[in-house]
Amino acid sequence: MRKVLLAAIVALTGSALAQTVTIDVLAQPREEWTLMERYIPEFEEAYGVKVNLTYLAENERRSRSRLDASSGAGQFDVYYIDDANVAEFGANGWLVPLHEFYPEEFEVEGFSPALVGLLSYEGVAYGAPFMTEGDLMFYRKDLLEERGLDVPTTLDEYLEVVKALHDPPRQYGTATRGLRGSGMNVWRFSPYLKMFGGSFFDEDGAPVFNSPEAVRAVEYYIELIKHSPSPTMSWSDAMDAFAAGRVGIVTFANLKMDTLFNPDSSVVVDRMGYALPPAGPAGQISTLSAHGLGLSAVADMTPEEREAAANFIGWFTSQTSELRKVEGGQGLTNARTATFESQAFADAYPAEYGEAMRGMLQIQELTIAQIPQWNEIGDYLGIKLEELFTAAYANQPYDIQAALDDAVAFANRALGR
Amino acid sequence: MTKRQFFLLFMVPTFGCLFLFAFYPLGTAIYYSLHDWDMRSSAPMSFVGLGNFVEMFQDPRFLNALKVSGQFLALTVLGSLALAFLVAPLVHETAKGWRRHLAIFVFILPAVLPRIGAAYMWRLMYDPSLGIINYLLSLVGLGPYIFLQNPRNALPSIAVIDIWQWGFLLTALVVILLDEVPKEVIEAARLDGASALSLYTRIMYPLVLPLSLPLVFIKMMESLRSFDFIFVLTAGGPGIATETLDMYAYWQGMGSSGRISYASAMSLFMVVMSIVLVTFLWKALRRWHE
Repeated sequence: MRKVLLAAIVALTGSALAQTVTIDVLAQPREEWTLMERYIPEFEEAYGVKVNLTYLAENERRSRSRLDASSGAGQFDVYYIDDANVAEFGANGWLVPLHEFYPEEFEVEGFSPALVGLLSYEGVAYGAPFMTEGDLMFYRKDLLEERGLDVPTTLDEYLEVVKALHDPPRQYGTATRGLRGSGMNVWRFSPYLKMFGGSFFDEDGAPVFNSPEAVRAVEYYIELIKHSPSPTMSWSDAMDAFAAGRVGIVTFANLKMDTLFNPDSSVVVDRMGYALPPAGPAGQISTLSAHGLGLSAVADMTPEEREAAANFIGWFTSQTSELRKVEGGQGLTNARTATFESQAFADAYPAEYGEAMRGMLQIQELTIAQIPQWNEIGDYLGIKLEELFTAAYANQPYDIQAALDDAVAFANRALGR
Repeated sequence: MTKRQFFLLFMVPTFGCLFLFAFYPLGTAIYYSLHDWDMRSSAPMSFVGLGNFVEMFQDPRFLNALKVSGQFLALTVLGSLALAFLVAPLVHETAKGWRRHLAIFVFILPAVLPRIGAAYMWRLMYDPSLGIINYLLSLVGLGPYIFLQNPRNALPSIAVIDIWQWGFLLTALVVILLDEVPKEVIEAARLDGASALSLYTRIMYPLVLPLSLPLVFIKMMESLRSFDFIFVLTAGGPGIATETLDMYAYWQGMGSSGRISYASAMSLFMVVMSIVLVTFLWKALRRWHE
């Protein structure tokens, strides 16, 4: 009798295992993911799939996915990828090309082409984008009016406004990112480098961010740092300082600005103005970034699992999901053109903001280099920039040219030049 | 239970865990350090001999990390000891009975706090615009001072927090040790006209110091692996001003570069350095004690 029971149990669990397809997704904790988690059971039921989510913060997420793919472990079926690491994944063949797996029913052509281009390497798209970010200027209307200042349109005017609004420790002119890292201070600095006419690499791929233009861009950025509450702020430090009403004017990513629109986390909701970032001598540029989901080419998946993973990516990045994000107060983190043009989006955000954001889409450019060595080179430059920022903030001597020369020498070594 | 069973019962799990979590990782670290595994590339790893170790000593950032680790070790160990041996006599001489118990209780409190929690608390207190330290200084017309964001102040500022956690714990232990000095010895010295200073420097400290040596070694080990602490406070910055060896190994291996082999070589170097340092000090101190 016992043997029969045992056999029955084994048979039952065996068939149950065969029926449930489980997929493992590596993600990054973000508010729109928390929102979308509410709808995941709906997906699981419709497709007969069990979804396992693992959340890791940005830097850890990058290193974990790299370890998972390079070691051949293949624990994750779906990777969270971004414009800064898609080159590394594409170059190593760790991802399945987007057009080979993206389910037809979810309409791959609905994505903004620029964003799909951003999640590509050597012309092959790998990621289904679900969010983009770019720069906007946020300023305190009340403070500008009080002092009779115009909304700045050039970098020179911007710096004048920053200085005029600077009255520490009660109030700081601006708050800008100084914390080191390729995705931190280097990312924030990158449009300034371009707007002063510099670039990270020349046409042959040689690092040139020690040019006179680059030095001028760093000089300008240091002025912004000097009028910030701290020289090593992270993105969220800077945003918190602005939301707390201690900062006059900022230029940073529009993304997650939902926090600033939320009266619970922001005291400046009714006093904010929005505009395009100010223009430099070489033009007006906003950063361009995209995060997306990619299908692992490393994980050992059955055809059913692979289909389930592809469906998850399609469902998560679908038009329906995007509109749900708009309704749920996370409308800025989307990637489909139709979403930004939708009535739901127009209803959810101030008209002035929508206008600024549409303008932003016109001036967005990729400001970093999509090469596999970017993180390493960017992190090193980030350290050099942080050293300059903190020395300048503490009124200690610093040498911009020497710091950039050092970073360029490092980049040459990393590139094997 | 036979002696053999008893032995197996207690030793097998212990050595099993040691093997799994200490010897096996150590072995793989040695293996990786002699190869060139780079996580950014799917190329198979190849044997490079001592190449990683040679590179280490030509890498200015590694040499900086070595220096920072040394400075942090010296600052925190000497600082904690100085605090303990300065404050303990005060408590020993002035607080008796419940007051002494209360003092010991208060001294132990900072060490009870989880290090990450303490680090976040101090990061806020050090903040140039929102921190309480600058607020208090501003009341007497000073500041604002930049602590963690100033390359010159950052490491000492972190050391202060470590000394606050460990120095007071050591103080409490030294107070207890001072109590153990026989009363007759102290009375005899006093009768012979010893001043308070010479009573401590010539009698009390020499008696107590050897007993507190194990504490010093524990503190040294603790100072060498302060990764969590520094990660929360500065993550090695500004620049690389507070980048210790373990922090740099993390950035190279996991954080940004993915150079597991190079990071393994650095970690191994740290293990060897720690063993050499502790052995050397232990021998030197024992000779001095005898």
